[in-house]
Amino acid sequence: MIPLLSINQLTFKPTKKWEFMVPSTDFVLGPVDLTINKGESIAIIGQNDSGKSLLAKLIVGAVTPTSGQISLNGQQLDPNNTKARASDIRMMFRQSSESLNPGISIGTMIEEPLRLNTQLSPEMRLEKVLKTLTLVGLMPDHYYFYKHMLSEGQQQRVALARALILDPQVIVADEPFAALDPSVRSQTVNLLLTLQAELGLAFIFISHNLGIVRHMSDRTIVMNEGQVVEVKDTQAMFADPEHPSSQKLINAHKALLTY
Amino acid sequence: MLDVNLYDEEHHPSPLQATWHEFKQSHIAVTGLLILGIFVIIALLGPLLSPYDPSTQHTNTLLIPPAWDDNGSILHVLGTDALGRDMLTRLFYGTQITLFASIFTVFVALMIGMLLGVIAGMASGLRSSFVNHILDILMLTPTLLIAIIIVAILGTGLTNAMMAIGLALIPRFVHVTRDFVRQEMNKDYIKIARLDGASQRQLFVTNILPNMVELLIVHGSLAISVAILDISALGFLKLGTQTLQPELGVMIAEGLSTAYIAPWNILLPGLGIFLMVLSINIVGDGLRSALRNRLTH
Repeated sequence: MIPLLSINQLTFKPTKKWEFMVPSTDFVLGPVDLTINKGESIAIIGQNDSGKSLLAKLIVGAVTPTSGQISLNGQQLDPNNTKARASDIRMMFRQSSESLNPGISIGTMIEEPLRLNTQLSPEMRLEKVLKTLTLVGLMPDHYYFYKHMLSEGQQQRVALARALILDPQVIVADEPFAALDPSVRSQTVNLLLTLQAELGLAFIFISHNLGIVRHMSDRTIVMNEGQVVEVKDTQAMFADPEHPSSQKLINAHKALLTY
Repeated sequence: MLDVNLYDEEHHPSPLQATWHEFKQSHIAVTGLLILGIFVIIALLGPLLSPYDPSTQHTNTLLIPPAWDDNGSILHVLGTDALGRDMLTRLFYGTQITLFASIFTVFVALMIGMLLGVIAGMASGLRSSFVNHILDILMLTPTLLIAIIIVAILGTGLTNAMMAIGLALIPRFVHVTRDFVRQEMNKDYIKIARLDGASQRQLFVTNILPNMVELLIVHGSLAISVAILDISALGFLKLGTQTLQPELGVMIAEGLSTAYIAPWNILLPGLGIFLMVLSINIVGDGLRSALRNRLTH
């Protein structure tokens, strides 16, 4: 069986332009090898600056890798052609005040990927946008809303709608739950789990919340200083972490739970 | 197909309607808009309404005061100047020249400046910083000074004065547009749009331009008031509009020689300039807060 997404020897070394002005860092990401199957959810955990976000950006193509390949359904992806992969691999950025455009309506925003990547007519686009809005638990009325009229949880749903609109196969999310309060967070987690079951999406997410990681993911990746140090099924990872940095993270989580 | 309007009980205002709604909240801004509106109507219709030609010299009625004065005449409601020309007619024409010349100058300068600014902002590296630093040098000198230098080279006249002021205003627009575009380009929503495969032009038109309207209006209105002051200042210094044309600055300069016997000759055009600049600034300010509030609550 061909895996949905396979990452082969992916590395990234930051290029230094003004070497004499910046203290040199010897940070290198990877090499990373990873395969992801259809309908699987994968969590990436690790300390700050361990290269989690960078790995996510490499997968979606926001950053060009130094070497290595990513293949989707056995087809190798061109690192410089973001448009080709835009409809299959979608990114959700960390929730922040800058993740949605304040000047255009939610509808226009969600419609944009359709306009750029499909040949649909305006009526079909509208229909698709309204359908997606209902899918993520918003109302068709929200088509006319602006960012400032929505709560943070709703904004997160808009970001999700924008990721879902092109019927992708993989969604990569950078801390999708960090800015949400607990009740909205659990709503969003449930929403994602439902959508994943319905649409058969592969979901890669970065999180600091190990509770959610344990609840949602099938496999967990631990990263440390740019290296993938441990990949295991989530249950096995939480029962028996092997690498010191995974032990540190998981024991800290367990210590919190026992209080 | 889903019918959007089936359960739509709420009215969704378009951005323009929302801006107008916010703008109406401020009475001062609305007053400013009214005054500005009166000036625009005067400039448009004044020449059609006035019975005289602005350069006709009524030789038997020199320097008569406005109609409400004991020596005034109802034939010349705002009096006449030293050459017997009707003051009201000249004010109508003067408003037209000064206001429309300023608006036109700023519009052209804004378009050119915005274009250059967007190019500089979306480019990166040496090219972009080169444009920026060249313009920084130009920005250090006051517009009126640059305008005087340009007039000295090109010669006097309204067209040259407009060109000079326009050229002096362009760096300002380039600078603000460039800074704004650069700032926007680093935001997450631009990165997302770029990942979706948007070209530079699509990025700008759909994602950056809607956020830039506020900036353009604020700087545009500020620039119009600067342009009105500069055009009339150049006229006053006899560097811009020439004596035959009834421009407000020229009218003040001409009235200066008879300021003691006929103070209304400098008072009225001065008041015109003052009210125009004031109302434009008030309207610009009101628009700025309306546009800002539109996107916050």
